Amino acid sequence: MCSCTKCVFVCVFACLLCAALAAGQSASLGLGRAASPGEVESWGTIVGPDGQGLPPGSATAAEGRSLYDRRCVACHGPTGREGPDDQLAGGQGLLATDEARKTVGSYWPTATTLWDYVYRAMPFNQPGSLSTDEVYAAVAYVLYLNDIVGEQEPVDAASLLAIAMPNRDGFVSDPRPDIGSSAVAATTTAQVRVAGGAALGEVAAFTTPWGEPDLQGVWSYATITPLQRPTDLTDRSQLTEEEVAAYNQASAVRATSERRSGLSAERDLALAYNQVWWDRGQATDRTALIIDPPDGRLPPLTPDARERQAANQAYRVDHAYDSWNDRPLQERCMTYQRVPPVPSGYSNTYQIFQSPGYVAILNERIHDVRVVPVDGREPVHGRIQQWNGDSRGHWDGATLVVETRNYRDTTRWRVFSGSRHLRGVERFPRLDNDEIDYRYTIYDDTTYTRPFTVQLPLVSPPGYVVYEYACHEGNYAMTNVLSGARAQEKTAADEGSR
Amino acid sequence: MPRNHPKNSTGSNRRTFLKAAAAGSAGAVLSPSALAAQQNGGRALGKGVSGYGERSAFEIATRRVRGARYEQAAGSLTPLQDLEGTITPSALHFERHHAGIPDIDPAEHRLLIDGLVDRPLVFSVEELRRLPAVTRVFFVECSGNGRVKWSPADPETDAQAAFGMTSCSEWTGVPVSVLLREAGVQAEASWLVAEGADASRMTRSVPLDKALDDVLVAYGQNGEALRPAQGYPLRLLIPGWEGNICIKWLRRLQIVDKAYQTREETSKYTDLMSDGTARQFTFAMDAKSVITRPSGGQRLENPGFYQISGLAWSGRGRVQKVEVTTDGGATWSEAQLDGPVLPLSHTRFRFDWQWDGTATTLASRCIDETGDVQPTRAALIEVRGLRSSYHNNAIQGWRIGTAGQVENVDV
Repeated sequence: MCSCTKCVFVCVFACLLCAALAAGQSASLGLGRAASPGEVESWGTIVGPDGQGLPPGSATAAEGRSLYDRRCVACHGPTGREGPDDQLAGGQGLLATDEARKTVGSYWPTATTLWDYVYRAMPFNQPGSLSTDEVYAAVAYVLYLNDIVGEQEPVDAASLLAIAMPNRDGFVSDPRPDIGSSAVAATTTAQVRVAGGAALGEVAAFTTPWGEPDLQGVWSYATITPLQRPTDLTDRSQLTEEEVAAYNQASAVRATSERRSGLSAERDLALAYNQVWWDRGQATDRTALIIDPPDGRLPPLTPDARERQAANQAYRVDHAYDSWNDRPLQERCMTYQRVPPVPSGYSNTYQIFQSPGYVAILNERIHDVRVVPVDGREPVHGRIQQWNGDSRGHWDGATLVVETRNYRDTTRWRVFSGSRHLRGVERFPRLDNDEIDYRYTIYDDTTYTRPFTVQLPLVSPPGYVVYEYACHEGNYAMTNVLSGARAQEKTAADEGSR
Repeated sequence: MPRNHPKNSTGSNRRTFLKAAAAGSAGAVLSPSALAAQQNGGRALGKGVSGYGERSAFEIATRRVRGARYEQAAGSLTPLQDLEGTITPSALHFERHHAGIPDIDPAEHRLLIDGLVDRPLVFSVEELRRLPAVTRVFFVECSGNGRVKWSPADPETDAQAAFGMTSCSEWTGVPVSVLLREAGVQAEASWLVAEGADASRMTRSVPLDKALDDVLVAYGQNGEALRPAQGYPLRLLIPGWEGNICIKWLRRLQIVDKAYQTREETSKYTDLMSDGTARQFTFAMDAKSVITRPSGGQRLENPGFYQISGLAWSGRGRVQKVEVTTDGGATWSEAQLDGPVLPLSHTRFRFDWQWDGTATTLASRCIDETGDVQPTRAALIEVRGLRSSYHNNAIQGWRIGTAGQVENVDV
């Protein structure tokens, strides 16, 4: 950054503000009071189809009869069929006919549901007034009215779970859109688990309502694994589990340790980027993000690229602060990550949105959204060049493939090099609910002697959210950087003339 | 000119609505009473300021209670035909309760987050209000809205009866994702069970990916606290999904590893098909629209210009377009949408029309941004049969008679 103390201070402080607003994902707000087990219990039970939450107790239908006659019969009738309110019994085998009736016996898929509902909501005018044994008794009697249990058969937690309700296989998942023109694009849209059906998280379930693979959600590519393999690990592509743990531990210690003693004011301030801001992620089990070439290192630069780099470095010695055009794009609040990205300290997020024919990828590091057409259209003309290029996508089976080209001459990537001839090809195969095996290959034969491929797993931990990234728009950082440089030049000139 | 004078409109205010509007637009000829109102002499001072405002005594649009054996387990329907714009006044938001409206002191109310979490937590309402919050406009629609359309059209059915179980509000609350981050969701979690503090302790299972996407624990509605009928002091607000899952009077979010097959998601709110199977977890509300003006029960006074206006919405995103037919479905033209068009919200559409005095049928159809097209009743029934009960989004037609009467008709 700039060399004068004052404007370093301004820049660093400005970036601190952005870091504060882009605060790390792991910070707890500390609100809410811890609930003790006894307190949780006081909220009452919720019974699941696996019997979770069912309290102990047991009763037979014979024991339930008098309870039913006192507490239930007025609404449900002497045999559960007469009403005037919901019919509880009968109707088995009639669901496909005009006589269809949704009773406990004909319709309900699980017996646990009956227990849970009677416990929480019955009788209608006095819910919560039955003891758990009374609930077992009422449940036993209603099941008996449906010929599902015998009159003397004890109903308890274990037997409820063992009951195969007549309509247990009668439920299907949501197949919409299913009507006319709206159904044309539909394939499988099974998105949720149904009774006895597929579990949430199966790959086949990730389909948009219009039939394209569904990648939508918030994804993190945060990792502390470096792009290139460290030189002390030359012969190894993998780390052991112990090494990964040690790596993560060392990183955590480094991020949280007190390192301020004896520092200058601006270095001290820079260290205020502590664990609150960082969201660097964990190490993968690889020694580098580059998986090809096999040595995990960037390929050698071409002679042409080496010449360009030398010329750029020479220019920057005297012209780094000539104009805002000489400042990096992130300092100008234009764009931080390039396409494709390399992980940095925080905001390593993709949020993916889809509509028919489009995939939008938000990289909230100065609000970059790539709207990627996936409808087969032509790329834009080669003369149209953009900082982050022009992306076009297509589906390779369930994998999104995005090719990006048309970068500007002056685009500078983070960590690796490139030119306007660079092409990035990204692949997004979704593995399951919370993982995409994201990889990209960089082709630029004017810069590197061969292409290279990066593997950057995208994960979606529950609760992971994108925080707004605030750059230092609206303050005086850029003005101060440049005016500071002008002041230094003037001082130097004054001293020279003296 | 008053459009709904209470003295002359015992339940017939809808019928005079367009008549009044038509007379007003004629403009040049004012009735004697209207002339009197415009005169300048003898003016009396009006009422003074007050603490909580009331609408004009001339405005009498109300919810209509749908018949039920118990008023605590009934529904009331929003008068869509009387609404302006896109927001439903809180006092006119449709209702559907299963065990009455509990009377909850917010100081005593607590929300428990338990189950597969690292830290079971209890929140007071005040603590929730300290958390990062958002304000968003969303509709809430009962999945039974449009239920009358499973039956052949009754000419007397009006917009309120046909589609009045949808309402749209500006909601304020804490994203569930914020709360679950505080509690720490465990790896095997995939659903949550939401439980209400009503007498029936209503429960529904919500897939965790939706819960973490855009679901709110809402405490604000249209600039003030939730109305008791809408879950005061806390409710779950699950954008675009059937109203029943938006648990009111929210007291608990239990994080679990499977759908809990609660009574409301098995015995009720499942869609029985002709073959005897039932669709479960049909969460999203389909693309839907209804012309509210002119609509059933209203009357066109005379031929001439009328702006057709109505509401469109979809539980899958934004309304992309609304098409209107003024010739019974022979031709369809694109209506104008009042912007900004918000996702998962009521969208007002408008279509200028000259009525030539002949009998015809008006209808609208919604196309949402996913390409979902509102179907005809016939197309819907062909696929789903007649026993589904829920999720009927068939096109709503209004037949205009030569006398200007407006009646419900199938298109």
